[in-house]
Amino acid sequence: MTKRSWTFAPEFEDAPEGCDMQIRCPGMIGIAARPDRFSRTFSRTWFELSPIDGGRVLVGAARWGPTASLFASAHGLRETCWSMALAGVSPEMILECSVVGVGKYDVGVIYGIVDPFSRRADLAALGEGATAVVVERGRTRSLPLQLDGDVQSFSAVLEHGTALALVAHDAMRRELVLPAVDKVVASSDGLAGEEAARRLCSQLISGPLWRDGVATVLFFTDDGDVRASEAVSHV
Amino acid sequence: MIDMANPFDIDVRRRPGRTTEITVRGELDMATAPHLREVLAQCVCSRPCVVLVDLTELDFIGAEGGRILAQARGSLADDCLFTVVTAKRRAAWLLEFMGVPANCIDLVTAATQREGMRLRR
Repeated sequence: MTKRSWTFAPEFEDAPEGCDMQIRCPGMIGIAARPDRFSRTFSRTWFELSPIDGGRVLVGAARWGPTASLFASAHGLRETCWSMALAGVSPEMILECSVVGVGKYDVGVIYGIVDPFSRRADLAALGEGATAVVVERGRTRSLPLQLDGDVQSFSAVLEHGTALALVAHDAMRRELVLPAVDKVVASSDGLAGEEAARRLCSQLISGPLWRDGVATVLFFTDDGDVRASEAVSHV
Repeated sequence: MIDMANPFDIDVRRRPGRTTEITVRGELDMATAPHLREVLAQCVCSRPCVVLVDLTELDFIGAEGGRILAQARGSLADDCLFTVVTAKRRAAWLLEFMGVPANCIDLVTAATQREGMRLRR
C-alpha cells in the first residue's frame, strides 16, 4: 500500500455567514456555499474542498438541472472524483471519466487541483452552467472555458491576493455571473482581502444564483511562501 | 454539508473486552470529519483491543474522512484489531486505496439471512 504524505493539510474553520464551509491552509483559504438545504436543488448540487497529497487541494462546484440525465448519484460522482484526484488523475480526465455521461445541457461541473504554494490552478469544466472567474488587483476576468459539450481545461498561475471563483449555475444565468462578481468587487474595495473573498462567495449564492447554484471561492494569501520555506528548512 | 434525510451523527458504544464500536451516519466530509477525528482520538487514548467502525449508514465519504480513518489506524497499537465495515463497494475500494482495509457487506443479504434465521427459530 502506498504511503501518502499529508504535509500542511488544510484545516476546517467555522464557515462565514451565508456560506457552508471554509478551509485554510498555508497560502490559501477556500470558501464554499451551495443552496439552502430546504431548496429543491439542494440534492442536485455539491462543492468540493478536499486535501489531496502534496499539500494540494481538490476544489470544485457542480450542479445539474432537472432535465439532465444523471445515471449516478451525486455522492457516487463526488467519491469517484476525489478518488481519481488522489490517484493523480488530472481534472480534465476526472471529468471525462466520471461526469461526461451526464450530458452538457442543464449541467455545470467545474473541478480543479490547486497548489497553494505555487498558486497553480489546473481546472476543467463541463456543461454550460460552469464559470470560473479570477479577481486580480480589483479586476475581474472570466477564464476562457469555451464550453461546447466537451470537457474544457485551463491552467493558470495566480498571484498573491488573487481570488478564484468556481461557480456552477443554471445555464440561463451564465451572463449574470461576471457582472455579479464585478458588483461585489466594486463594493468590496477591490476585493483585497479574505473578508472580501468570503463576501464574494456568500453574495454570489444569495444574489445572481438565487440559491440555485454553487460557488467555491479561493483566495491566495501571502503566507504560502513563508510556510514553504519553513518546510524546506526542516527537511 | 448536512443531509436532511440522514444528518451526520456518530454513535460510540463500549463493549466488553475493550471493544469500541463507532457508527457514523450521514456525510463525512471536511465539515464533519473533525468530529470523527475527535472521537477516534479519544478511542485511541483508551487503548482498545478492537475498534469497529460501522459506515453502513454513511451516505458519502470524502477524502478527509478516509484520511482520518487512516491516521487512526496508524495510531492504534499493533495488536489492536481495527475493522471498518461499509455497505458500498466504492467506499470499501476508496478506503483500501487510502490504506484502510474495509469489509463490504451486502445489507440486503445480511437482513434476509437474519430474517431467515429468525423464522427458522
